[in-house]
Amino acid sequence: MDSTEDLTDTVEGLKAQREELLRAREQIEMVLTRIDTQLDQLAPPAPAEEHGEPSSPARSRPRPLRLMVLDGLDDLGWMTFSRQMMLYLRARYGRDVSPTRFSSLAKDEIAAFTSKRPRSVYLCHGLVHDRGEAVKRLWGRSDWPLEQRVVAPTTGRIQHLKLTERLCEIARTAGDTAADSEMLRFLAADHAKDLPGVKARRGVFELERWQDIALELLEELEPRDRERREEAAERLARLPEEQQLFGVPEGPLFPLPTPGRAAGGRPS
Amino acid sequence: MTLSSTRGLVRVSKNPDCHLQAAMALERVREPEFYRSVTGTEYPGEYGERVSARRRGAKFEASLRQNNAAGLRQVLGPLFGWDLDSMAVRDFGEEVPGPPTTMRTLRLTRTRRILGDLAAGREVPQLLIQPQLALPTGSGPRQLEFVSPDFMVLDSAAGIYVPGEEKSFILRDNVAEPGDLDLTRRQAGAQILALRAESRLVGLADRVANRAVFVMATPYGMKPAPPVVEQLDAAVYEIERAVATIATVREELAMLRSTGDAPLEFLVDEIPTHLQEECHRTCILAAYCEARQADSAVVLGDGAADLLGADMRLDRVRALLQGAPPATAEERELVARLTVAGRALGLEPDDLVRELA
Amino acid sequence: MNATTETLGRVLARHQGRALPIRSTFALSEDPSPVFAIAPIKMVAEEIVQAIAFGDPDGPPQVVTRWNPLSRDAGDLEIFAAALNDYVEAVARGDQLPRFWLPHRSALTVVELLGHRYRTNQMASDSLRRMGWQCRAIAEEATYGGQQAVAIAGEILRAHVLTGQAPIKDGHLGALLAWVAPVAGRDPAEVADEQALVPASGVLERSIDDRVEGLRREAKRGRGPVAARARAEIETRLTQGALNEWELLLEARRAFWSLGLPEGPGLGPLVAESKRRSLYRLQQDLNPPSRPHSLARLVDDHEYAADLAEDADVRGDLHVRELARRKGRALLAEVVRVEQPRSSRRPCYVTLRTTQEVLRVRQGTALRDIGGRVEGRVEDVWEARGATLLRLELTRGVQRSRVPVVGDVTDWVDTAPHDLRRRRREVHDAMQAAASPLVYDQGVVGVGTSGSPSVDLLAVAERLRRGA
Repeated sequence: MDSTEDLTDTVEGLKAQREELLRAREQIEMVLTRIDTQLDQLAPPAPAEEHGEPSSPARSRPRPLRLMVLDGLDDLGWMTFSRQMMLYLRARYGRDVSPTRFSSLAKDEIAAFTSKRPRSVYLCHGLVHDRGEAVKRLWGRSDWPLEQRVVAPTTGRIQHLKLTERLCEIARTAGDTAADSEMLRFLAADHAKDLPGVKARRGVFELERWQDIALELLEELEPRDRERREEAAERLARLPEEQQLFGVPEGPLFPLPTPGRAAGGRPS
Repeated sequence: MTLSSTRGLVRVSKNPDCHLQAAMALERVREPEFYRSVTGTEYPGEYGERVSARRRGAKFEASLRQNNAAGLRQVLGPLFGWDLDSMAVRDFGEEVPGPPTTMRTLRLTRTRRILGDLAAGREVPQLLIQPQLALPTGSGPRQLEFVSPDFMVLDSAAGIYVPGEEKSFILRDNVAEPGDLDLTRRQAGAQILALRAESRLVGLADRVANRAVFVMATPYGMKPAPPVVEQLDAAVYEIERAVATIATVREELAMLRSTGDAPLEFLVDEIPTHLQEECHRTCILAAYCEARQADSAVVLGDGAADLLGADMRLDRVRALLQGAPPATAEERELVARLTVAGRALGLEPDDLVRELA
Repeated sequence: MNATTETLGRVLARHQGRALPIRSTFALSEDPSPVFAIAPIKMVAEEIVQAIAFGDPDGPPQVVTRWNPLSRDAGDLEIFAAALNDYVEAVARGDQLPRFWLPHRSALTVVELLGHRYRTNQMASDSLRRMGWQCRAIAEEATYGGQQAVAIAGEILRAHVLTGQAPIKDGHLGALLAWVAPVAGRDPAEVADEQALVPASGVLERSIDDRVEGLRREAKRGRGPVAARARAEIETRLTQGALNEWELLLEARRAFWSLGLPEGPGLGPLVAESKRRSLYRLQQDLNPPSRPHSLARLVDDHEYAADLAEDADVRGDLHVRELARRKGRALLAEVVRVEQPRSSRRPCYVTLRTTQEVLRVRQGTALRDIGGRVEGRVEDVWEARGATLLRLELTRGVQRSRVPVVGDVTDWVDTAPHDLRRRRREVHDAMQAAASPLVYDQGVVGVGTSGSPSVDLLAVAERLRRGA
């Protein structure tokens, strides 16, 4: 069989190619941003500023994704899933991020940690309370206490309530500073619709009411969840730092049967 | 798309007498490529799921799973004895998103740990999303199929998980199209067997009943219809037969390859097939198999194949109706029955002779 | 039809290279004028309309398209809603049977879902809600046996012919038509297989569907020229898709009427019932029955419709009657005796003699002659001199002008529909008035809650055993 034909003619092959290209582009952007930063540090002041004119915008390189995610987590104040973060960044900062970028983000963070390139803060994963397994699409900041990065059985609900409360607050107060304030409201509504007693109605954004409901429920439920997370954090604190950030290592139990190979057969 | 995992098992279960199909599932062939290898031409028909179908399925699942799986909890909690607000959820789609090469074993590891916790009386989540199970299809360590229910919900009364499927096809007045349901039931049959196999490892197999729960859509957007719990003895039986067929075919292939490795497409002529009507709906090689049996009773459908014998040539049937002497008692009886049937079509024996001239 | 007859039919059809008629008469009455045809294109899996070609099949169709069918804006459907209502009003004014032609069952499903989605949709306009209950009425009428208002081309063709291919292939309307209207000089089996590669279930062809999906993403991006061009192309492709479905429907309809069979003689009552039901439902929004008495009435309606349809078929169609004869439900018999003490009066007894081997007749069986003018109930059955004799007490046809005469040889059938709905309605009305909790309440009523005196059942059983 012709391998060019096989790969490039299948949808799976095209998707894989696209992912690779997106990863490569992001890597190049990060490198260029670092170069720009260094050049900016070395460059003389722009002449326009001497005449009192506003400086022209710096070369428009997007802010590195990891920094945007860290900012987003700071805004939201709680562990956030990749999909939620994607939508938040788009609505709040006008930044479009493809879902596949998050998997390369995780690899980059682990690589940065293990290479001992010091960073003041890392992106890290939520950890399942009992065994420290990573929840790889749930993001936190390394400068949060460990108990804030643990996922206890009750934390799923808390996470929903926290995000709902924060999104309602941001949607209410961001005003013109949001890239897409309408999308922010929809995002808040999408979270609030599953609050008890909330019936979603098209075009109606009861942000304050939803926020109040979320806060009331958090007041009732968070203490017990915090207790469980703190208990779990005590145990997980004995793990090496890397595992406290990125989860305990897991290996496959056994090798997978690979496509096209049966016992004793040739791959097709 | 490959014929792997549950998809392959379900396909084999619909036609366990077709060993070629089982071989295709065993070898996880990519069907369009396999078709090209066997026939030398591109598959002329439509293949694979359409974008809109995939999108609807993905949207339906996403809507049920967002916000700590609120949609699923709302419909499943009351049914299985849980306060929906206090159900703990673990979503392996979020915990172990990929890549596909390691994702399944990692999810399987985590699922097994949870089953171990259940057996040990430790706290477990009430809802697992995209858990992973393994169904043995032979005695070797690699002889298994990965089976992934959309979710599993813990039945508070039975003390075991019940596998479930989210299906975006539409229920009207709580009724689904039979064809849609048949495939879903068979998928669930595979999941029940896989769950039982996994539960056996921790001593809980007895708790696994032949039942599954289905969450389907209504005509109104993404809102789920009330879930349906079904007893699936028949589906489980069909999948068990499929597993047995796969084991048989594995041995057959080993024998065929005992004198030298050959790719599956070179062995097609030596592997028994069993064309039936349903093949035209599901199997990429249906037209190929039909062409190989042109002018035999099977081209007229399952009813004709059952009555005449799948290999009975139609020219022999015509000859018998035109007066050729029957060679066996079966042929004699066949002629008698067909003659009587002719009258039901307004055709006397002479008319039949004339029509077949 | 049993497997043997079907197999033979398919053998013949394959040999002759064309479909074999299996009826001697049409089961559908002649198309009234006007007729309304509907050929929708749906979005796969969503079962949402994205285009409809509709109108009088004898003229050019109107086509509506929805470039974004998932949007809540259903204004594009208003034209269809108006045309449907115009048609309903026209047939109602003329007190005519409405006749809707659709290509296949999938099209009816789309119509039914329009009914579900719009009938009670408070966000929809009045005209779309009306369209909703009219669509629902069409879908419901199609569920009645023998109904004459909704012609689903693929199904009605399959009820009249057998092809020379596997039945599953007949499910594709294009493949079916390859046998019903074969192309000169070509093997219909080959043509059918070619046709089967093109969808014929109300969806766009795959490559076009994928193209439309891609264009939709562009079209949603705003109001610029790129988005406008994308929308325009979507609409062109959807229009073409709907016109293709329309052509398929017309071809199927032509092929059906080209079978050239006479109209079944017993269709009159079916037409009357279908007209009554459909005109009533098309002109008002009715809630689906949910209470026991209304559900019971619905079952009665369906049962009577099925009885009427069976009677019309068995009495009116030679082939269908032959099949019934194979099962012993139709018998050729000679009148050998008539006992009628007073002319044109009951009692009147008729003795029939038949040499038919397969009979499904016993005491109490109602029999009717194929003319439908004489009906009786079997009083006695016995064998004599290699024949079976039946003594009937006539319940209808005792008048001198109708009563059978000795020597008459004719077919008698056991289909004898009786319209007991009025009698049953009295029962259902009484049931509704009584509203017994056993019937109307949810759950099981507890034993002894009515306050009946408790009885020692064991003592009763003991007394019975002792013979007290």
